[in-house]
Order: sequence, then structure tokens, then C-alpha cells
Amino acid sequence: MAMIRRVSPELPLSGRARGFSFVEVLIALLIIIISVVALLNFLTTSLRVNDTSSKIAGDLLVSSGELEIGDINGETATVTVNGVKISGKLRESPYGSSKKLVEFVRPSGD
Amino acid sequence: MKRKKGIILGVTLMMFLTIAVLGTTIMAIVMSKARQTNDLEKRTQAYFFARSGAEIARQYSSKADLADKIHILYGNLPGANEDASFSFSIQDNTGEWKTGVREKLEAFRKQDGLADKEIVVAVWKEGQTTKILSLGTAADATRVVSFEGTSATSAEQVINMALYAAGMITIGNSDNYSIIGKVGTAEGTIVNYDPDKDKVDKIPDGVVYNLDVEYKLPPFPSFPDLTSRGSLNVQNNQTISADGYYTSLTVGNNKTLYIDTGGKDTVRKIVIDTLALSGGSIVLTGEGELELYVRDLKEKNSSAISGNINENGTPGRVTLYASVNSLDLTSLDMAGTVYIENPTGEVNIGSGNEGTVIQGLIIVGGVDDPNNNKDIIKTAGNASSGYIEEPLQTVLYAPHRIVEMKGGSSFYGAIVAKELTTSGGGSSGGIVYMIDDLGDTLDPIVEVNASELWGE
Repeated sequence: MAMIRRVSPELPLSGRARGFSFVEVLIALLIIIISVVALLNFLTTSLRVNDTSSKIAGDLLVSSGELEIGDINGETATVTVNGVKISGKLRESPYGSSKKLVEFVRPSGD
Repeated sequence: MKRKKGIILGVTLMMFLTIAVLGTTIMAIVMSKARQTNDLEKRTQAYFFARSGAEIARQYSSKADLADKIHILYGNLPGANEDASFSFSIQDNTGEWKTGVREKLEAFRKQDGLADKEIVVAVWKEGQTTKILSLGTAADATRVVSFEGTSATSAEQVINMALYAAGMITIGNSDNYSIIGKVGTAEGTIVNYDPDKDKVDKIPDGVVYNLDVEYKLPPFPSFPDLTSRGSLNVQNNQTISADGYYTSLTVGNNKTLYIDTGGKDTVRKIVIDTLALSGGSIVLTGEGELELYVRDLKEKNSSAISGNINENGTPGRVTLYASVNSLDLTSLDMAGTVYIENPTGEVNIGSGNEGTVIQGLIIVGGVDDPNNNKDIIKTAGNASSGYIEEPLQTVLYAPHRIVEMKGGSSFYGAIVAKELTTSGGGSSGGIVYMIDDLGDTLDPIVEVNASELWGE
């Protein structure tokens, strides 16, 4: 049985002309992989930064609310100015992992 | 097909570019949010620094003599259980600091290299009001907090004169009229008063001119909604021992209505459409307090009122809130507070020899209305605050009303009014400053005038 080979006059049989070269595909894959990995890295970092920012903003709100309400007793501190000694409380309200808001208040009733 | 060679590289580069743009956008958004959070942190801390500055300045103003200067205090807060020293600078607020203190303070902070100071605060006095402008700085964020308040904590600080009238004071011709105690007015003169020419100095304790004090009215409460108890014509020795609403309550001549005020912390509340007090008495029993809310107050067959309410009792126990158009307190003996909401007509206090004898506080509400010449309170008769064995003290607090003192009416206490006129050449009364027996009766006006106003 003889094999019949269909030949199109428009498509030459040259191997180089058919599809993409292996090197082309390899380079393309490499570029895509590098960019996707970089994007994933970006995304992870972004999500982490976003999450941290949200947490800090939320914490900050709670923390400033505590200072506003006066829930925190605070430690004694003194400010001297022009010979006048002003005693009060230094209220510290922590937020985030290691930050704190600070406020000085007079003793109540003064 | 030859010209399509390498297209995959182009497509890949396009994809790379898209991914890069996507990544950059996401990063920009996230970084913007991080920056916002960072700004929020700095701004929040700067706000609390600014508030701390205001607190320090308030304490400072109560201990230091500010005179007519602007004191600028600056420095950093101490740590817990630590001391810190603030520096200070004193500016003359009659000079370039007279106006635009905020701009001046910000310029001062920049010029003097104080940008790294957590707190820069200016404090000064305008009349009785202490004003504070505080700048708090955290890194590159600065917040401003302003505070103004009167530091009054006692009746003597709020009612510290025999008479204060923002407007004109006119003294009668009689040499017998005098005001014992200081007088204050926002005007530059007092009509018919010249201590250098008068035979007798009618205000021997002196006058403070151009004194602009804003006296505020305490809030007038809305009448409570209570159980309806119809009308009551009091027979002798009748007792009310529960809160209630009466369409009318009549206490006739020589009749006594006892009101049981219950235990020490109880406030007995009674709302009355028409209280007709015609020579009768209302006496408190129990240890509580009484609040009367009245829409019309009169004698049985006249507009005037006479009788006794808590006579010789503790004035802090009774408050009579009157939402009436006008009031004629012909001869009322009372220990307590009378608060007349906003009468559209005149309020007359005292008439004839008996006069009205009130130990306590009379508040007359209203607003300044230059076109209304009926904003008048007239005191007449022998005494509006009478002198029996011990002087009964009354503070007439009507910062938006004109007070006319007629005849020989006298006040042992103090008057706050819009204007004061003593009419007639023959008047022999006056005002004697005396409020030390009133105690917590004056708390409502002390509280409302010891104001605090914060702003940013």
C-alpha cells in the first residue's frame, strides 16, 4: 500500500517555518514564569502590607477611643515650665505590635 | 508564515507588560494605603500631643499670672514617672500678637526651630475666659487644638459682683440709693453716677467698666409627662405624696398643702396648669426635693400671687419652673429657685410694704431683643429680697432682661441683667452683695457658666 502525501503549494515543508521554535517557547515560558512569580510575590507582599495597615488602623481607632474615654489610668509625670510644676498622668495606649499613643492629662477635678 | 515568526515572544512581552502594570498598580494602591495608615498614626499622635498641650496650658493658667500677655510653652512630653522641662516665651498680646494668634504661633514655631517639639502651646486671657491654642507635632504631621473656657468652680467666681449689666446702668437721683459691692458693665459710663461730684458715693466698692462677660442661661427643662390627678382645691393639712399632673391646684388663704418629698435622694415632681396661691402655704415634708412645673401662676382671682412656698426652709430643695407669659409675684415668701422660662410680658417682684421675700435664685430667661421694651423686671415695695432678722439673699439672674428697681426695693444678693434702671428721685433702696448663704442653690448658673469649648 503506497503512502499518499498531500502537498500544499502554499505551505513549504521547511521545518523552520512550521509552528514555534523550541527556544522561542522556552524563552516565552521563562518570561511568563518569572513575571507570574514576581506578581505573586507582589501580591503576597501587598496583601500582607494591606492586612497590617488595616490592623494598625483598626487598633489605632480603638486605642485613641480608649484615650478619649479616659479608660487608661496612666503613670505620674511632671512638666515644669516657668517655675510652675504641672503634675499629671501620662496615659499610654498601645496599638499594633509595638507602638503606642501617648497623652498627658491633668489630674481630674483640677 | 515567515512574517509571523517570533510572535510568541511579542505576545509574551505583552503579557509581561500587563502583569508588570497590574503588579505596579496593586503595589501603588497598597503603598498608598500604608502611607495613609502612617499618616493617620502621625496625625492621631499629633492630636493627642496638641490635647496634652492644652491640658498643660490649662493647669499653667491656673497657677501662673498671665496678666495681658500671651504665654507660649513648648517642649516634649516626659516618659512615665519622669519629669520634663518646657521652655516658654512671653508675647505682648497688645502688639503684633493681638490678632491672628494661630498664624503667629505657627510662624513662631517655624522661625524658632521648634518644628521638632511635640508641643507648642499659647495661652492667654480675654476677660474671664482663658484661651488656649495648642500645636501638636508627630514627625511631619501637625494638629491644632483650641480650647476656651471659664475656670469658674464656685458661685463667688461666677457671681462676683453686686451688679453686672452688659448695657446701660442708670442710677436714681436719691442719695439714699446705694450699691454695696462691685459693679460691672460693658459700657464706659454709668448714667447719673459721678463719684467725684456726688455728695455720697453710691457705689463705694467701685465699678469695672468695659467688662464684657457673657452670662449663659441654664437649660429650661421640658415638663415631665406624669399621671393625671385632676384638679385640687386644698383643704387644710392636705398632703400630696406622689408625682402627678394637676389641671389646677388652689391653696387658699390660711390653707396649707404639705408635699411629702420622700427620702433623701427623691425628687418629687408635680406639673400644674394653674397654681393659684392666695395667701396659702406649701410646706415640704420628708428629706427629698421638690420640682414644681407651672404653666400659670396666680392668686385665685387675680394675676398676682401671694403666699409661702418652703418658707424658712432650705432653698436648695425647691425649684419652681414657670412657663408663663408674665408674672406678678406680689407677696411671695419662698426659699428656693424660681425659673421663669421666657415671659413675653413683665415680671413684677414685690409690691407694697410686704414685698416679696425670696431666699434663693430667680432666673428669668429670654433672648436679647432690642425691639422689645417689655423685657422688664420691676422690683418694687419694701423688699424684693427682704431684710427681716437675718438678711434673706436672692440672686436675680436675668442676663437678657432690663431690671427696673422702683420705690425702696432692695436686693440682698446680686443682680445680673441686660440693663438696670433705678427710677424715681426718691428711691432709697439698693443692692447689697451677699451670696454666701445660698450654697448649692446657685449651682445651675455656676455649671452653665463654667464652660469648656474644644475645637480644632
